[in-house]
Amino acid sequence: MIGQTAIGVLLVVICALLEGVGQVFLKKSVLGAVRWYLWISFGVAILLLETMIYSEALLFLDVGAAYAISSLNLISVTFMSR
Amino acid sequence: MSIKKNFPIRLAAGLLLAILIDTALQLVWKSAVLSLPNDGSPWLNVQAVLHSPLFLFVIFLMACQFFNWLMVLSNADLSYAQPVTSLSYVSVFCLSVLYLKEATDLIQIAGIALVLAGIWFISQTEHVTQSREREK
Repeated sequence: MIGQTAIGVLLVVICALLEGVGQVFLKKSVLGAVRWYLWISFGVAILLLETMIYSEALLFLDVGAAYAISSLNLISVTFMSR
Repeated sequence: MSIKKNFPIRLAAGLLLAILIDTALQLVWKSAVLSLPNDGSPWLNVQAVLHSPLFLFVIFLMACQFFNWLMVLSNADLSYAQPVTSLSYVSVFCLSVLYLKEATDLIQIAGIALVLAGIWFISQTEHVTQSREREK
């Protein structure tokens, strides 16, 4: 049985991965891409999904811990933007 | 953290605003989740979320963050801007301890110190890729 803290951590890790994808899409939209509106739409959709998952994570974790763990998105954004 | 001579003021203001909004967003978001009625289920009720003024404020802050972030991204590389705005990890940590009375320990403080070190390293790099800057 997975503990509540583990569920919270797992949700935040999922958020970090989604953040990487979403940020890359937003960056694509301001780089003069032909279908910039598609990039921005996908980016916003992914970040909205991340919002819902992060809200759930806050039920299980302190914001000080949840937000600190979400710094994993630095890694995902750095790698996905290369 | 040293600011290079050719560092645009607009970008600096955008990054600072991003940090401030991010900090407020996290604290209000946690307060919003805590304010929801506890029905015994660990999963959030979408209707309760949509009727909560605090969640509506969270959405407003997200919108502000979104437009500010687009401005920041048009002036800097994503791999530069994203790590620099992580200064909000420090502010969220401090304010959540102060205002939400969350527990803290030495390991968390060490983690925050590492975040600060990482931001310092990132800040020593160019804020925009040279080839892309020439294209503009």
